[in-house]
Amino acid sequence: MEKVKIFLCQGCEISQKIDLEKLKKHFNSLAQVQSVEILAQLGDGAAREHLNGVEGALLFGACDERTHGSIFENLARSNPYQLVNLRERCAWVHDADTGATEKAIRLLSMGLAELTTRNTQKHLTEWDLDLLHRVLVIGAGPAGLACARALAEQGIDVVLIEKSNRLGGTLRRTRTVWPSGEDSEKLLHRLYDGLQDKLHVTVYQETELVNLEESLHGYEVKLSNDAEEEMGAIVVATGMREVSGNLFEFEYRWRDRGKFRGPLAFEVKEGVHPFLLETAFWDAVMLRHEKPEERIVFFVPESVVLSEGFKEGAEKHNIEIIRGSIPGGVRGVTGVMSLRPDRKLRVIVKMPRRGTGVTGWKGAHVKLGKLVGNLSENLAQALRIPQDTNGYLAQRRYRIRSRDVVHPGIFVVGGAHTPMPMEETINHAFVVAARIKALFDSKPKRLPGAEIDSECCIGCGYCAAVCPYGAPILERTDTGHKARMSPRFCTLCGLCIAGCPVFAISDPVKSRESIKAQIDAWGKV
Amino acid sequence: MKILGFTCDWAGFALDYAGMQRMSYPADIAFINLRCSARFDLADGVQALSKGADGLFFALCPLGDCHYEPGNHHVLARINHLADLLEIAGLRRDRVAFYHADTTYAFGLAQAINGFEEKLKEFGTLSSQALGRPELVLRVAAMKRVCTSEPVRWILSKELELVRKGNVFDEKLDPQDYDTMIKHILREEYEKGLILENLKEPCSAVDVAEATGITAHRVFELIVELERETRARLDKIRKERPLYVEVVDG
Repeated sequence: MEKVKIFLCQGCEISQKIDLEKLKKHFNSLAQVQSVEILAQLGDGAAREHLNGVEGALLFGACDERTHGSIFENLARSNPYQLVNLRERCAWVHDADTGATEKAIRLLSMGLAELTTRNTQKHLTEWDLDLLHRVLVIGAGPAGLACARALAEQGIDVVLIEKSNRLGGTLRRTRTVWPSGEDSEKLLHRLYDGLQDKLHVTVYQETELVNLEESLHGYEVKLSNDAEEEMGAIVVATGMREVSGNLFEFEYRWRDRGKFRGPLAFEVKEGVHPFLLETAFWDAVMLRHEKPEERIVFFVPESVVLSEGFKEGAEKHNIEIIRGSIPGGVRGVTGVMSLRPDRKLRVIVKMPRRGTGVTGWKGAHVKLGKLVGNLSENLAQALRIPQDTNGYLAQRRYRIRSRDVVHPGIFVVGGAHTPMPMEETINHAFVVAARIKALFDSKPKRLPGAEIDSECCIGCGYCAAVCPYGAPILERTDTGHKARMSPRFCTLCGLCIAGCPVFAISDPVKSRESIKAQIDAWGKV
Repeated sequence: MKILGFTCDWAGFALDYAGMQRMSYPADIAFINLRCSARFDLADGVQALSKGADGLFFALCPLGDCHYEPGNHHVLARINHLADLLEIAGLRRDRVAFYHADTTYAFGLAQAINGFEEKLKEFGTLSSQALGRPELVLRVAAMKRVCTSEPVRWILSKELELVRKGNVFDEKLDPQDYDTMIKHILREEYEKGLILENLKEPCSAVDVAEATGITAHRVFELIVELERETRARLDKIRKERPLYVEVVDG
């Protein structure tokens, strides 16, 4: 290791609290230090001129990396450097008579240890990520279509894949959009028209994502139509679907045919999604305006908690709420489920007539079941996104980015996160499109990931189990299991590094030796 | 008093903020910056003790607010294991402290450091405690053996699987049972470490018992176990007494 040149800053009260001459004397006596210089202000032009042409490892004793980091990056140019915060962590909190100088020596020694133990080949903590300007959008529902459209309008190459043979997703299943009341078909046309012929979006129907591997310029994706392509970013817009319920079908039929006979029973199942309940209530209020005299009943199990607003609204619009299941059960054709136009919207619901004995009445019966995420488990695993119990894609790193970012270059849009109103879904898609454009234009940088020594690895699976980002993968080999790291997904948090039973994982930026050297340096002073 | 602190990049905000607010705290604490506090390794903690730390302090993100999601839950478990180990070694477990510091919690952080310093002053420095310096070195060396031993690290890494995730039959271990088990393992491994520290030169079980304060019967039991693990071996028999020695593997 070449010798280190130390530069100390006098500004910002540092020289008032810390005896810099003493520091200079101490560090000049060390073998690994070449020179110690005290400058008036490390951030100003004079310092930059002074440091011009200085080569080798540099240690700065100055201020905070967060506020002044870029200044020191410029000062060091391409030389390896380390910044020690003598301002906030020493001069501003301690006084000369309470050991500020001793602490400064300690901090600088630790910085020196970190600098000298660092792998100089990897002193750059980040590398440029040269992303391919090409996006894969999974799912051609409203979110996927809107996102593909917005991306294509910005001149980005888009590939849109859809599992089924028809585009449109939820928009195909509903008549109007909740809650704005816009015609679903018109919205679909607005999103779709010109997508393929004018905006040149490649659309593959009946196609799914099979596998995903990280590559030099983004992700290497494999599709079920045997196409293998490289993508700079991936948008997951798989949406959600209704299970054990038929609200969407009911809406479609009702708005298509415009009328049905008899009273209406909403049967709420346990574990119903609040979003579904809200949509159904909105439907009930609309119906009330059309049929002021008809009975509209919500059968709600005890376990489902209703909001006060729901109860008040029900009272206002003369909508009954009965706790428990339908007493007599349901018999007859569940016409709501059928999409045949000649089939009447009529089922027979047996329930007690108001005040009198049990008789049946004819009417419509709508089941409110669960809404679940549409993404298959395999795909979620390939994308390394955890799912919650209802199959929605969990939010990640919410402190750092807003909710659409999961991994660098992978975005989740619309109902795949959680059910949301159509307008919000489409706005979300536009936001993500803008983010992708910004990502491509900003020339993003990435940290190198942790490295696994495969000879040392015993295949215990700790790293794969504990990593919140799914960066290490356990692979079967001839002799057992071995872990493999995907650097693109690694955030270098160090959770697996510190917990590995055999010390097989190492951090290329802040190695185990570096931390040990820092502790040793701290102990020596 | 010498305190070594560990802070993550994000809780480090609070530390810098304390600087901007000119809040004073003792100058004998210095912090090592880690990207996430989950990077903290038990071995690092013991290394700090061996280099003369009287206490260890951790500035963590608030629970559930870690930037790397489960990070500070894991580090809390590790801090707990370190405290257990200190207790087993006959030192105070309060020599390890932590504070959940969000960016603006500078005042609380400074107060926590001050309080920790005062508490440590009550305890006295580690070397000035009733045990002399050489014995402390021995104990810390034994602790270091515990922290770097593969079986111990392996069982510590299995917490997630054993307690939280469960096996394929969805059988989970009771967290209290797991804690008891870990303490038992740490104690046994610590005793083995102490014995091995004394077996650098050929030594009999009775002499080791005298040096370590563990009963001769227990020492012999553990030596037999160490022999089975090929970490110790019979060296020679002197005056009808078997002398054992540590096996140093290449």
